[in-house]
Amino acid sequence: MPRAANATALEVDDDDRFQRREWRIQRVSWLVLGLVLLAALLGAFGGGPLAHATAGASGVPAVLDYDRFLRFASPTELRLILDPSAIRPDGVAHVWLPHRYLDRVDVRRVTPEPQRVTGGASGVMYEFLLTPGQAGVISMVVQPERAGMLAGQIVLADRRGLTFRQFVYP
Amino acid sequence: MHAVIRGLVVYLVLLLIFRLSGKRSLAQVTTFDLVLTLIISECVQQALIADDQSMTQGLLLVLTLVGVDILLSVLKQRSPALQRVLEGLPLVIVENGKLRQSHMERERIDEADILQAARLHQGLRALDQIDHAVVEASGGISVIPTVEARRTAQA
Repeated sequence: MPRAANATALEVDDDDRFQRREWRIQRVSWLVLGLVLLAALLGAFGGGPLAHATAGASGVPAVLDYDRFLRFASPTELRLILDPSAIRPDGVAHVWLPHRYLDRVDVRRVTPEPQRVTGGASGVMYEFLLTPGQAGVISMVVQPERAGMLAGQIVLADRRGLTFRQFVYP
Repeated sequence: MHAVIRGLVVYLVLLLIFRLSGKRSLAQVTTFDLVLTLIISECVQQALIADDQSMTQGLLLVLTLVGVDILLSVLKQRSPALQRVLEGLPLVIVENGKLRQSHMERERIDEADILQAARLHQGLRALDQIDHAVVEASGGISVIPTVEARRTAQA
């Protein structure tokens, strides 16, 4: 509504109080934007120092390097480092993953290639041939197929295992 | 992390490219300029998104580009020197009715461009009706008519 009734007044719908409030909200939102970008740089939305994690447990002869924060349909690596004691003298090592995890990701690549993959009622057993007496590295590239929490587990031949959690951003 | 870095790099490189290409690169939107803009956006898209098609990636990129833009606008307001470097300065090409040929040549502007701006924005007929013409930092040409031309227009 025009503010003044005289003929020379500018017919414009302005409101100082509203404008000031808008500016204040804008400045606060810029601060929030800056914090979000800072968090993103640190890896809170995946792919940075905050996102990298390592899972290990006492008595388990392996550690797992993984990413805590993932993106929907974007590949990520699970890197399992096996202690020499987790590898049999003939070089065979077994690694088991539950369907609960595998059903929610697309396994893109497993390195080294497993000798045998056996499906069971609750999970999949991968059998690898590694060099005995040395630490072994197994890399799995998986791509999340659903957003949300992902609960993962990796179990070795002696039934001891590691658990890990990942969050998949949409 | 990668989204923010990619966004930042693409913003700064594009800023540099368009600053170096001169004031009038995309300010005057011809049909071909529009096509060129679309092609440039197509080329940059791949560099920005990479292999991550998630919504998070897209939104982070938008936030990064808008964030850098806000940051630079604040910095430019505080530092006139930065404003000059990033946006350039206006350039007078007609002074008191006289064309400054060397300036026009360097900025790749000819009489036809000045006359076009004069017709479009002031409704002028000829060069002798122009008192001053300036290529603004934003790339457009602004024209100030002579006193006589203004009087004729008012009459």
